[in-house]
Amino acid sequence: MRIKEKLELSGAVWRLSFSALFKKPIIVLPLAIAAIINALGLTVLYYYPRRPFSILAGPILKYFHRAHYLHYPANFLFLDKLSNYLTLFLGIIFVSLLSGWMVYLISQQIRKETLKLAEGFKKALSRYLSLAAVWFVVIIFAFGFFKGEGVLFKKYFQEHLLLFGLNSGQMRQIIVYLNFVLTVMINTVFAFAIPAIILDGKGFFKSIIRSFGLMKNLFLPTFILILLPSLLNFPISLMKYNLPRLMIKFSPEVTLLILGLGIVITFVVDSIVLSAVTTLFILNKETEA
Amino acid sequence: MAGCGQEYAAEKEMWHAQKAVKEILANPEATPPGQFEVTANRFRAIIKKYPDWPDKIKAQWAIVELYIARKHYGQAEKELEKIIADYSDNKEVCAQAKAIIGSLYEMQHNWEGASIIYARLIKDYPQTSQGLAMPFYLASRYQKLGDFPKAAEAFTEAIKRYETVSKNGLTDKIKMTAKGLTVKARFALAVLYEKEERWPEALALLKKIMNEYPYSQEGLRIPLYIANHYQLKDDKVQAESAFNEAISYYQKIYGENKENPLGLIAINLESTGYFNQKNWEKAIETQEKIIKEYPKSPGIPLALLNMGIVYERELKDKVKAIATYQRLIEKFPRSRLAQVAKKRVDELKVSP
Repeated sequence: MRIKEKLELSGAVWRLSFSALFKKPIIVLPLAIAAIINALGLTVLYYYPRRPFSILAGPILKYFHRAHYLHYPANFLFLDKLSNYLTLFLGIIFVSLLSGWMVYLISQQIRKETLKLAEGFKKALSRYLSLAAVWFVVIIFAFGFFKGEGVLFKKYFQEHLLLFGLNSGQMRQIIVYLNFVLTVMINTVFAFAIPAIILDGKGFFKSIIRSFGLMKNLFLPTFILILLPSLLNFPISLMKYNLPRLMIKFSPEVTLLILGLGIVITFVVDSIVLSAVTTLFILNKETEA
Repeated sequence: MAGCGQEYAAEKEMWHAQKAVKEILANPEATPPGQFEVTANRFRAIIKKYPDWPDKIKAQWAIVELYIARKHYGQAEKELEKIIADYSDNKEVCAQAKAIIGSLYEMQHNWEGASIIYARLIKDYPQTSQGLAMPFYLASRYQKLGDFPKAAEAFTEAIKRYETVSKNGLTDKIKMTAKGLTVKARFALAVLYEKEERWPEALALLKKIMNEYPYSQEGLRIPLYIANHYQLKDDKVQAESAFNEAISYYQKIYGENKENPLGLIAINLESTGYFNQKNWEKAIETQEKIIKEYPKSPGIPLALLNMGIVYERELKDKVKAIATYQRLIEKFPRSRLAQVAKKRVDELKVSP
């Protein structure tokens, strides 16, 4: 497939997937539930410096020499870190399952079948372990990748950039941009694992291999399908990077607003990406058949 | 440690009130008068709402700060007296409040009133950090006001007081603080004598510090200080002798303390001696020794920069200057001095 054809494919997939979403918005119910769970989790975390949560949080933070995070406004900086961990944890436990559910619903809509919510949920539940395992592997992979990126950056690039006159703040910003692109690339190579589990009935290991295998022909269209909607997340990433400054300029509570907005935008982006990727998977499958 | 809803709420209100204070203090003249009182009342509300909050004194200090910014010194003094009454069992807080009251008098150019307050502070809270610092401060103020006889008398009085506290202080920390202040006060008195052209007395005092406190900050500086005195007086013979004596002294300390931080301090002072003597080759040689023996020292970037400047400006050796600057840039690219070195290299490369 030539590049032009790949780009046209991305366009066609979007048309189909957006059409599916607009015709049957109930498809996004699973990720809407995921967003609500995330929001509830964030709310609980917000209260960690106060009773009764501080009864548990206090000794733990003191043990790790982080007792200052029990105080205002340092708790908001910690809230940002905590919400990242929460997202990862909820991702493995809940979002993996809910994503699988949504993939099933999208496939029903694309194939013009009647949507069966309960059936989709049962299907995802039956594949829960594989779904959670894939999610876990992606997190570990991403974690290792970012750690390695940090080490390589420090070892090979940082000194050269310093000589160009860039200060440490500017270099951290470069890392934010780099991380964004890397995140999209990681999501791209693993994009078809969940559809492979739900729609092809593959196990966790084979679904990853299937996803990698599809990258041979589908890397560019998949990358575009993930990159463009993900750009909506970028302003949130930049705001999180500037959180201390924003807290002083406005109020520490602005953190909650940014994190809440992040949950909403993640819901929108993930809905678009998941439906597009699933649509592409189905179209490719039909082509292969 | 388990956290308290009240404490968190107090911190939150305090943060927002302090933000308002920062905005006022950024430009107090432009702040409408009513806004001072509104902000002060926010802190009063915090104190009233959270009487058991351990950090409520921060709110009280903030009110004082506001009145000082508004130049309402009388009101500020009243608030400070309130703090002294509320925290009468906390001597450190009371001493700090008293010290600020003294400074309020100074702000109103009422030195007589201030000195009475400070004397009272020394009497009532002698073994607090303010109580210990105050005798030295008083003597320094007399010196700044040009009243040298009073300053000398105050320094002598301070030295006696510190020597007593360094033996009989309530805690080891107070004794150590008093010991440090003894050295500072003696050194300041020596400097005062020097200014009054009483060099023999100054020299005697300096030698005494060197003998009794050889490894104190002042004690270590004294050999160079003496040499610089003769250099400033244009007494070349005495200066040369004093520099040589200082350098030998530092070489001895370095030889005995190579493995500990004192060795590094000594060799740095030796290098300073060569710099002051304008003995550039020896100065560079010593700097190279520091870089070799103490490669992890935070002073290495500055050492390299100084060497580069000496090559450039004193020895007029452009090639070695560039090479030294490049060493700094390559070894410490993240240092701000590397940016300075880079500019020097760029200028040297284009200069004839």
